[in-house]
Amino acid sequence: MLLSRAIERVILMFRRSLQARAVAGSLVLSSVALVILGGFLSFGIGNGLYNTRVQQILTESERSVIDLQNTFSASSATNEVALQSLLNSLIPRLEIESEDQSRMVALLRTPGKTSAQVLQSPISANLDTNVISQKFKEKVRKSSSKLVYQSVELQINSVTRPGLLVGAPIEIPLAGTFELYLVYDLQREQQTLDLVQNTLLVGGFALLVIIGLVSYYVTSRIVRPVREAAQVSEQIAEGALDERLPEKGEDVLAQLARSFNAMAQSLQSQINKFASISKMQQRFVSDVSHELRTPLTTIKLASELLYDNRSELSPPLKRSAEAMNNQIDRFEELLEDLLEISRYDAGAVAGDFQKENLVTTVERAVSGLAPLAEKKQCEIILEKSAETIEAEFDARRIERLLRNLLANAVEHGEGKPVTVAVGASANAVAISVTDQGVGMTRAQLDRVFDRFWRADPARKRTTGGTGLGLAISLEDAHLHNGWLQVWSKPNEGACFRLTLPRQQGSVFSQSPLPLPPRKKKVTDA
Amino acid sequence: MSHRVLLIEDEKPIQQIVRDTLEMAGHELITCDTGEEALEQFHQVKPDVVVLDWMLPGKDGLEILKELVSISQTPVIMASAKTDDDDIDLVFKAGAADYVKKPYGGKELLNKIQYLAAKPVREDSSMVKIGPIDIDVSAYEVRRNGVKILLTPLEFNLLLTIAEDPKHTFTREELLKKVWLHKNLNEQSDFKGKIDTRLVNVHIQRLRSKIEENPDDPKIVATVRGRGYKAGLE
Repeated sequence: MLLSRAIERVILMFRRSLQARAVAGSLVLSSVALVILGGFLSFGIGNGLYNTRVQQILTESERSVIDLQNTFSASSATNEVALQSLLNSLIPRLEIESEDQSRMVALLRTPGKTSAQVLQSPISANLDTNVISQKFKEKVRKSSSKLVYQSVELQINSVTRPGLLVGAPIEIPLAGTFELYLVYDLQREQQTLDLVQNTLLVGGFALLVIIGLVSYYVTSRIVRPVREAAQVSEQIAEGALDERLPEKGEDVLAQLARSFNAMAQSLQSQINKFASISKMQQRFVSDVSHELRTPLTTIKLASELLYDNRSELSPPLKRSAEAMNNQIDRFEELLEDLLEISRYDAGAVAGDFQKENLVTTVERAVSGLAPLAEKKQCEIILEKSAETIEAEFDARRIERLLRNLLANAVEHGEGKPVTVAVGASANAVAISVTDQGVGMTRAQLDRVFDRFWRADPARKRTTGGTGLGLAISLEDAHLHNGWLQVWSKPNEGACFRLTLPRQQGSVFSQSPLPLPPRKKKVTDA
Repeated sequence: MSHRVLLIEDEKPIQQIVRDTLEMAGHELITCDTGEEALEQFHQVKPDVVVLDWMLPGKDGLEILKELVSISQTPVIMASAKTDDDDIDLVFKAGAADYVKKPYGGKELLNKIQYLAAKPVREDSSMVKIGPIDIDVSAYEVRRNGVKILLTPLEFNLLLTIAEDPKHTFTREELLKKVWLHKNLNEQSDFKGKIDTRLVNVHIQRLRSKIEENPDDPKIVATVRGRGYKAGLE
């Protein structure tokens, strides 16, 4: 558990840090290279040491064998005792005994040869004759006075040491054919090789550490500016448009910094340009709407005066007064909506989010629409999952949005009931407004949130409306980080569903209410 | 009941029609074109209500508002084409009694003038008590421990409404209907709704600053969280 977590952490660090990956990569590659190089060196040195020593041993042995043969050939010993004492004096002289270099001797009689004299074979005290294999002995017998050698393992003080076995046949007068075996201990060469290998190992490790440090240093020199660039671009993305990278030197990193700064500069000027254009446009719309308001005040005051006293007017004048009075309200709404959409376009809208009961807001919107619904003889049914649904929202904007949805539903509902549903989940709240009217086609649905778009231009409008209502509603929903979605089918009706987070900043992935809506029958059952 | 209204507005046609509208309703209107004349006119005319345009040539409406508020209790209705929340806040902070958004209609203006100027008409000469405050309805006077407190007609009506039904919690909508004489709240546009709730809050604050010992810890007109206001229990 602990281990797997540690592994996870390391993996995470690798995925996050370019530098960690670079250092680890160079360490892995250089250790592979060092193992290959070290192996090659150690093999070469070992081989060289061995071959040199073998040559030396062979020369030495040859001389010894020739000396011995000559001594025997020239000896005047005629009886067994004299021969034995000669052997006993000659053979031990061939022995060398030292700490790291020793030569052991064995003179063995070649079996199968009968002779008059039976001599005792002198053998070095600490030589284990098992070292001399039968195969080797036969090679020596067939060698016809040439030296034969083989590397062997020696057991000395129960420690295995490398050794070299050299053998040659010797003719001893009267006694017949013998075999002389010289066993050399290669411990010194082994020690030299061990030393070399240890040195290589230590050196290799030291080199790896150095490579690690160097690659850390080099990559940090390269990664640091990249990291700085990442930080600065994050700051710029967060709106600190004045942030820049330091431009030092002439290398590729300085070039990166310069290009980055140039890019930031051009972005900044573009953004400022757009910001000022958007501000100008918003100012323009807002100025236009203000400038229109003053003459409109006179018109409205005059129109109302006429309208209130219309009983004194002749029928045609009365109709004019009525028409003017109605249209002025619509004009005013249009101004209001234009101003609101220009606020959104300029990004100048800040929501007034308060914790409130959503059901109260829905009920207010429904009762606000009651006069229109009555006029259209349309029933508004409210389905609420609870009496109190607390959420954080801008009540004024949500009420306006709901009135707008309700007005549309009543307008297009052809007198059939309009259903308003309110639902909630842990993270989200939702309201859906469903009518059973004419509905919309696929192509109409795609444009339903467009500004000044009307589903049917030829339709006789009774509620006026500015054509900006749904566009503003969509902006209102986005202001809350919510969704405003629509479902519709021709002749089946339409359903608009608003989903809002319970708290500003809380995340939701599903709406508490279905879209398209459940059929009425299903909800009743 | 006839009221005397001072309209400070530079548009002659507006002056003309407002005059006609008010005179047809039996009120008296005095107009003035610029902010410079406004104060002088105000002292001469002694109006019951002032209607003040924000954007005037020369002296700005907001400056005039601050001057008027500093020298008198007369309610001022600010009229403007500005509709941003921040602008409305600015006007209420400066001491306006109400706000009308251009374009406004004659009925809307008339309604506001009437509730701002109306003094309660009572047959009886009863005294109403709320905490340490005595309200003499017929004399139209308010005393705190015997010391007279000057209230505007609106503040007087607000205090009286709450004091006469001390067990009842008044929602903002109720107060708008009773004190501000609003009839159809739901027919108001959303932005008016916003202005209206602010209106109640602003006037409750002003009333408290005059009658409470510590306006930050109100004992006479208490807030019922999430519901509205009621007479504080002493």
